[in-house]
Amino acid sequence: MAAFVAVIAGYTATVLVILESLLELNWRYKAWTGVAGIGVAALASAIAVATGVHAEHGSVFSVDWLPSLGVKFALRVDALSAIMGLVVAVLSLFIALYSVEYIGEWGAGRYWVFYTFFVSSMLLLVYADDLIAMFIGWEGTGISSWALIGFYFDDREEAWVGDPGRKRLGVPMWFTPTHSALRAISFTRVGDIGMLIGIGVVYALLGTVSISALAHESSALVPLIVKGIAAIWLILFYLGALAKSAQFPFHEWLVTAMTGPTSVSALIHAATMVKAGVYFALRLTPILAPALIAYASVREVYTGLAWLSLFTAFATATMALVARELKLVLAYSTASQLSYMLAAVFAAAAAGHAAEGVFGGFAHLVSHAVFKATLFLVAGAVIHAVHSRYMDDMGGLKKYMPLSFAAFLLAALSLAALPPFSGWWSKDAAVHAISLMSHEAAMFALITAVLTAIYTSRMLYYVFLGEYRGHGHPHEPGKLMLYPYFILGIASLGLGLAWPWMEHYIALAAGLHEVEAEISLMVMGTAASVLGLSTIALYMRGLRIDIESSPTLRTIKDFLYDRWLLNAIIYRVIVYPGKRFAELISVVERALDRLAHEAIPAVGLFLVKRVHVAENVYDTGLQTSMPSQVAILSEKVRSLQSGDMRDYLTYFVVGVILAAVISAFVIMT
Amino acid sequence: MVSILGDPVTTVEAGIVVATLFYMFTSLVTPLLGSKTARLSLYVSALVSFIILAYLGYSTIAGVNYVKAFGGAILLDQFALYLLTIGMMVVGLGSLATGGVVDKWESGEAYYAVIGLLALGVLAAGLAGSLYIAYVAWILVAVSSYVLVALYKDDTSAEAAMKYAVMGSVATIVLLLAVQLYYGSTRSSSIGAQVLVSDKVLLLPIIALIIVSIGFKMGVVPFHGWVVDVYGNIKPIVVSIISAMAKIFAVLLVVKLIIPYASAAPFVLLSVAVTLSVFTMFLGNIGALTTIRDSPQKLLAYSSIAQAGYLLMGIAMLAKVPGVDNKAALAGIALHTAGYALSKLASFTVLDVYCEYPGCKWKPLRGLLWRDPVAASALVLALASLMGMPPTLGFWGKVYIVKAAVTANPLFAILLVVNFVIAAFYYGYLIYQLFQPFEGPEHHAAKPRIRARTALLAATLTLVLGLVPTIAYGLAVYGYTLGF
Repeated sequence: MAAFVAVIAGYTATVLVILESLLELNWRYKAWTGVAGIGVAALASAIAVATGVHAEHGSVFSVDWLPSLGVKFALRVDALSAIMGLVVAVLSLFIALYSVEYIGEWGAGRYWVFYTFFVSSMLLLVYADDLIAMFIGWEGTGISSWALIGFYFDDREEAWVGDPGRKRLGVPMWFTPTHSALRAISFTRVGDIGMLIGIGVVYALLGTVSISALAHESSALVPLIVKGIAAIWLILFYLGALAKSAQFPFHEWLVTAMTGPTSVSALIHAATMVKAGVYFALRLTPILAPALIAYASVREVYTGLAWLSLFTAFATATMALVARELKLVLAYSTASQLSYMLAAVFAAAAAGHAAEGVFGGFAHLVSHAVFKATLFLVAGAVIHAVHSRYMDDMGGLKKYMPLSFAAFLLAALSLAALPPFSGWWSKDAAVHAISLMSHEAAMFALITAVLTAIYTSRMLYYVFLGEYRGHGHPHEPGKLMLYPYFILGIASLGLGLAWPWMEHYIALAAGLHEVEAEISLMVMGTAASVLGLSTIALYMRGLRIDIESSPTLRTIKDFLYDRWLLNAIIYRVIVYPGKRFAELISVVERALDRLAHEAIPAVGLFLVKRVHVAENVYDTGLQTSMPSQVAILSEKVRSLQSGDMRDYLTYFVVGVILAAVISAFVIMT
Repeated sequence: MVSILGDPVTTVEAGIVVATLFYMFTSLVTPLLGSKTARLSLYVSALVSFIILAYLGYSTIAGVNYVKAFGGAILLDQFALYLLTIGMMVVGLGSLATGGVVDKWESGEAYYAVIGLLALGVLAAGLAGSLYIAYVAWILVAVSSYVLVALYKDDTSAEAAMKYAVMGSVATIVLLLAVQLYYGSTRSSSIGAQVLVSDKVLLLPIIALIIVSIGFKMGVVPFHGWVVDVYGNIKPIVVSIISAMAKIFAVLLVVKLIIPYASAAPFVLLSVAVTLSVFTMFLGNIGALTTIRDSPQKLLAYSSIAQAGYLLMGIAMLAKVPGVDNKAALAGIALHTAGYALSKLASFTVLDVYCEYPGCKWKPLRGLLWRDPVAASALVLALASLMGMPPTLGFWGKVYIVKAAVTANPLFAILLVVNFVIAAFYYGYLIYQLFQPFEGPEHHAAKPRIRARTALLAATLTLVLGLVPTIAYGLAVYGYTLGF
């Protein structure tokens, strides 16, 4: 029930905000309606945790939605969905408070409609006990993400991503909000189609799309193995998750999604929506993997997916090393951290320990949600303060924005996985899960961890340390913006300090009775973090290599800066040929059009001229007879409604007689 | 069966007494205190009755389908409760909308007092467990409607009220005859699903008589003479409430009275109701279509006739003929009536803001979308529901009525759909006019805004309630099916 309230609260707020927009109310009403709706959702999700986290098999809330058509609306609260729902709702609430001031008046109606719609859809996705209900929430988050990425639909230049004018392989490397919004929805749609096919297969085999039923009858999937299509099905089924959670090569959409307002980046493109893919894997891998892992083809799929995620983590981390835009660094880092979570899930599943993978992935999901939301929210305040999205125009902000610096530092150290921050615990759990597959994989993850710490310290230095390089006078934002991220920053430390107690609940969600830790991996993880962070000392001492003077280094830098040229290649291989194909089709279409509008009418005209008589009859019919018939009919109808009481009473009597006659006739026969 | 008063019968009795007292106070005392007090009191009465009915629906009679109270004089069931809560919404919204408008009339306080009586009559019809209560309800609703129509003291209103009253008297006589035969054929004054028909001879004319008398109230052809003259000519704000309440009242009463005969003589019901329904649909829709240029108000008046035809088709499908989906028919009637009431309330209220009186014309509606988006969206939403656009209440009502009609004879369903198509044209024409450029001096949204805003609220309800059609579908599994 609590889950139902949590889902419905935001949707109610959506409707109310639409009404308020129609009634032309002040923007503050819309903003606070949105906040209130999410507040109720957060409260309900907290109640759901209190009631649902210890239930043995979770509790299911199910209503018949359209009983005559057999559609059900089922929500499930168990440890995993309860904690996930709480994280989503509480972070949404903090970020909603921040948005009140950050968004202000322009576009407030649109923003709050889609913001609340997003939160509800995300909660629906989390609590859904039915693949169709989950898919509805999934698409709901997709559509609101599209609307919010393109929030600045006037394509104002300060919301762009990338350097205007820069091209690689002839492909422009800067993106306007409307372009990015379309990219996001098209990239993720590719995955969603795969997922829909996957759901269809589940329905065909089980005759149901209930997740609980799937958990009980996962052996019903075995025929897929017999038919030899299990591998393809698994990949399709996970494809939606891979696209949503920005796995290579779908990570491109997430990078340019930074054209949305920063509060949106914080919530949707860091803390919650991109976690939907991870959540899907967390929810379904423990169901699918144990039933199918005995088969070599399935094992190979999981191993391959794990390596894909590890590769994404590494690739996006290298891109973060050279990015100039603050939000872009955070976006790369988000894609990289998401890959850690998925790698943990897939690797552990491949090794036959699905629960350990869920533990590692979910732990990192929770801690990452908190610290990445903080980082983005501070970034929003900083970009606002210096009026530039480039880190070149920042620096030394520690002096002007000390509280923001404190929050950023706490969250950044968590990202760099320094003990005892929450990121340290969760990354170790993830690396432990990865190590179950192979030690090479774990080593690869640790190398990425070093890179993570390096770009974290680079970002810290360029934004807050050194000398201020921008213009204007930066200052702390208002309380409504400052408090939410300050609290979240402290939370990422607090979460780390409280981790030994918290761990139990994450383990409960993973269905793990006992958490194992490998001391050697933890030591290596800490070493990786310290090694990476130590590069800040180089910056502080002014030791820098002049990249521009060395052709080799410059080529490498440009390669990373242009995102491994992947975007250019996708555009060259898919988008532009697609465009040319569309142009070709439009030529054909124009030809058909001319045929329909010129050739055929010409023939028709010719024929019509030949059959003048017929045409005349037709003409008379259309121009004279039909209107006059309608006029006569209209006159008849009017004359029925004469306004004379006596007429009406006559009709009445006729009606009584008619009814009597019909009755008598029916009785006779 | 959980209730604060323990015994469900006591709870129901107490609730009815409280609601009646509130309306009595509104109708008898507050007119002496001025129109503002009367309006406020009516608003409170509607709110209190709404809360009482909702409470009874969700706690007291949830699961038991129906409760008899006052020694059987009162019969409360889920179907009636659903429509009564909608009726109370209509009264509440109707009294909210008129603030600052009717208050300025010469007899503003009487308007609210009489609406109080009208609401009481509808309440009595929904709760009636015996013929006497049903007859009292009929008289209350009839007299108060005539007074309401005449209340705006001018020639148009007086003429309309006179026609309404004269035809109403004829219908009352027919109903009286029906009531006598009803008693004769059942040997009992109780009404509802459990009544058994004992006399097979007397029952034969009774179905026709019930359908004639209540068909008059709904605007069924050929008892419809008054509809166009009343709904099409008088002040739209009065029509907004009368048209909504009259339909709710008629549906509540006809379902209660017809149920025993739906199983005793199903084919009579089916033939009479379907025949009249087909006449009604076609005359209503063709009338609206051929007089489309005259006035938007007249168009909506004809559409009221057509909508009565759809409802009568639903009522015909209550006939207990093997294979006919009676449940879907009942659900369809409930949803369709609810959607009709809310959308007529909204659309006539908007007409009241923008049409000249007398003689509502098209011109002031042109370009409304830009001049007053609130009123225009209310009108668009209301028309969408009347047209049957998903997921509004109007859509679900039509879906279920068609679903029931298919089971009786696919031809009936085809006739319904043909009529929906004709209707879509003139509703679409109305919407199209809202998008046309406005010729004439620039003028802005009319004040006070309360009418347009209330209309939007009512129209939005057709959409919001349309998201939970389940509630109404659940009603079909209630007491009346026991009678079959």
